Amino acid sequence: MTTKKKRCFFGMKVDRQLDGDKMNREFLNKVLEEGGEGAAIASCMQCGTCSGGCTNIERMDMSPRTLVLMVQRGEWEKVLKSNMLWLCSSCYICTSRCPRGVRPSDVIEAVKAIAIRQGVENDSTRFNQIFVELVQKRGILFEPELMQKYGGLEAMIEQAELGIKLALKGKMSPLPDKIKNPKKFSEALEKAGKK
Amino acid sequence: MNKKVVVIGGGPAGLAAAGKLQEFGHDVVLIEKQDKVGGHLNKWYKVFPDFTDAAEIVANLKQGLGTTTILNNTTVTRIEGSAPNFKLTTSTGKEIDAAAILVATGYKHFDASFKEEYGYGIYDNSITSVELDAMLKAQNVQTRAGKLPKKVGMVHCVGSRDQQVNNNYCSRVCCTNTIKVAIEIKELIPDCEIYCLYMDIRVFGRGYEELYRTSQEKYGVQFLRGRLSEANEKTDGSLLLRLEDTLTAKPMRLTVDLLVLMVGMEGNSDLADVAGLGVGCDRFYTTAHQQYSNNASARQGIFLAGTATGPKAIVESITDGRAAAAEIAGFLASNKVVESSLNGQILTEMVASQK
Repeated sequence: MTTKKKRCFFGMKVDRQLDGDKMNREFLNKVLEEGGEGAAIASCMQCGTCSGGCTNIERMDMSPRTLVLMVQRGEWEKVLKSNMLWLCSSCYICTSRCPRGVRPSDVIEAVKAIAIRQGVENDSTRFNQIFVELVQKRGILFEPELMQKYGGLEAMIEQAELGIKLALKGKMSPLPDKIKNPKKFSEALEKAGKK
Repeated sequence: MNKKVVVIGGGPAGLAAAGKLQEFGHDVVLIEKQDKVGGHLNKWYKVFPDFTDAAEIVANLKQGLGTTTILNNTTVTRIEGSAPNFKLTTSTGKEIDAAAILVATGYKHFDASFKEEYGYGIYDNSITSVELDAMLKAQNVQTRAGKLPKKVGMVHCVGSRDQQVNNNYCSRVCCTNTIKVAIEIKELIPDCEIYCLYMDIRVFGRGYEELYRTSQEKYGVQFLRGRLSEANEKTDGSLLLRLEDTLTAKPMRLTVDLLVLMVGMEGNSDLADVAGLGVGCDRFYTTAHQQYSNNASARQGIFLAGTATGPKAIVESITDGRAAAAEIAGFLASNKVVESSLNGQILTEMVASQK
């Protein structure tokens, strides 16, 4: 167990109440720089339309509405700790329904980028990394390879039954696919990466 | 024609009504308590949502007064007789005959010292919206110690929606006014953080919601959902606010250099006895019917306009004054007997008994 200093404030534990004096605009500006410039974060009116429609909300420890509020107030520790960043499936329901143009999915994308740069590592970031590397390599995904890199042999054995079924039904190729013009694809990737 | 109408109160509603009545061809006498007409508008800097100068509105309404006789520094002490033969006695001892009377006596500001937990009158940097507007008019917003505030807290609903001070109603204009003054402070002091402590944002008119959005998007005004519970002074003169941030359901402590209390409106029932007018449980005058006869009082020949019958924005008061002028013109032209019902009073009493 980690030993945390128990600090009290007005007889209340620190984490049970908010210190309004810590509110700042730094994190908001950072998110805007990171690609959220189209997102009108400051104009969020906390209606909760985003959270109401969110497809993964039941697994999240923080709702999209709260995420935007935390970004507004500069509480980035709470945001970066949250699992919601990695549970967002980028379905864009929140963005398509937001009445104020906040674009929560763009906010999440930007916050994720900041989190990764700050060294946040978990299964999701690892999965994303492997996924991107494999696509870069072949231009198309070869699922068994992804499975092996992500979960190792153990995962491959565990998922073998499902894999065979998928392969028999023609839903997944047992051999790696190829794209028509790998050279052009890698050129395009390079060009996009330079931007 | 040429019947005489007395308008009591020279605020936006009274001025607008007097202007229209004299256009209709009536002799109008405007009785004003202060030494000049304009009412509360004389104190204000700018008016939401389009930042029109308050002085411009007064000038425009005054221009429309035409042949109206203005009696400044005067109040009405007695009203005798009945329509169309009223006899009014003023505080200056003058007697005026009138065929109809319009009461446009407006409102009073809530006295913020009743909410002693907000520290008004106790702490130097707890001020009301009226004082802030005077600062904005002078383009000099500062703390009592003469410093530029870095953080300003604005409290919505001070003296409104509060059973503790016997005001259960919403004063309607404070939300938009808060947003307006927040923008004005931001323009004056761009690096000043502004926190608005609200329960609901009630911006109801044309262009008001847009103003709310602009304040967030362009000026970065922060809105904290929760009613101020108490303010305490720190040794450096700043104020420590205690509230609940109801959006995260956690108590919050927040320090501000300046605390602005957005005081609500209270009914001005000074003329209730003199004019024999009914007063609702909200202490605004009751009208003959809240829906279709909202400018007539229960007493025939006496009409009501503006914030005398409940909180209104400037534009609404002007419109209401002109609506009352039309009512009066119709009444005088036909001399019809307006059927008086006490619907307004009954309704407000009903609301009161539901508590």
